[in-house]
Amino acid sequence: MAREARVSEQPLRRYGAVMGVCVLAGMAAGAVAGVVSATSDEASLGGAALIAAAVALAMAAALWACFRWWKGLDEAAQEAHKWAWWWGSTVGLCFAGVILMTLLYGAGDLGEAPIKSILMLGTAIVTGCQMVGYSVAWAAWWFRRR
Amino acid sequence: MNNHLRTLRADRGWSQADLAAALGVSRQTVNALETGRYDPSLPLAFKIARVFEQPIEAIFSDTGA
Repeated sequence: MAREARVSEQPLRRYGAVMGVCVLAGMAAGAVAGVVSATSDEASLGGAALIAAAVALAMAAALWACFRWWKGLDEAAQEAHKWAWWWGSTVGLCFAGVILMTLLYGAGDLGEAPIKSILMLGTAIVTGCQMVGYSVAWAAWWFRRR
Repeated sequence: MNNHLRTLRADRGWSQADLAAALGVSRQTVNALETGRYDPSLPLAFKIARVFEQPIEAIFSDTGA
């Protein structure tokens, strides 16, 4: 029989701790990227490897925190997140697709923007729409079961 | 699926928080179970049966049956 996880009695505090770990890990990785960018005039393989390693470590820390948080959720809370992850993110992705296609082909000449800016804008649109969709879906799941 | 969780809980004078603590779930989950808008997993259904000392069929009934 699988070992039962202990459901957290302070879910908000636990969630805040996970967010805290993610923020700190992201800041640490960002600091490494900032130092690498500031100390070298040209992109180098070593600098890229250092940034990749820092971001990978940050992701691993965030995943570890998420894993600990997930184990403290009861089955209904896990179900809510799974449902919200699928439907909320999928619908959000649809919205992001509309926005991206509109910007690409319907917004006229957007000028010459740096590749990095374009990449970050696309990433922000997709992740932003997915996060909004996820949040709405999660709230709707619980609202329908109150 | 229907259930008699609310009645069984009330008969014992337990709050939703009391039942949640006994089952190891959140109060929100107990509320969702009682309103019939969330069906428990098999392990949780068995735990509910043990807590109330009733067979599962006496607590849950299938609306499709």
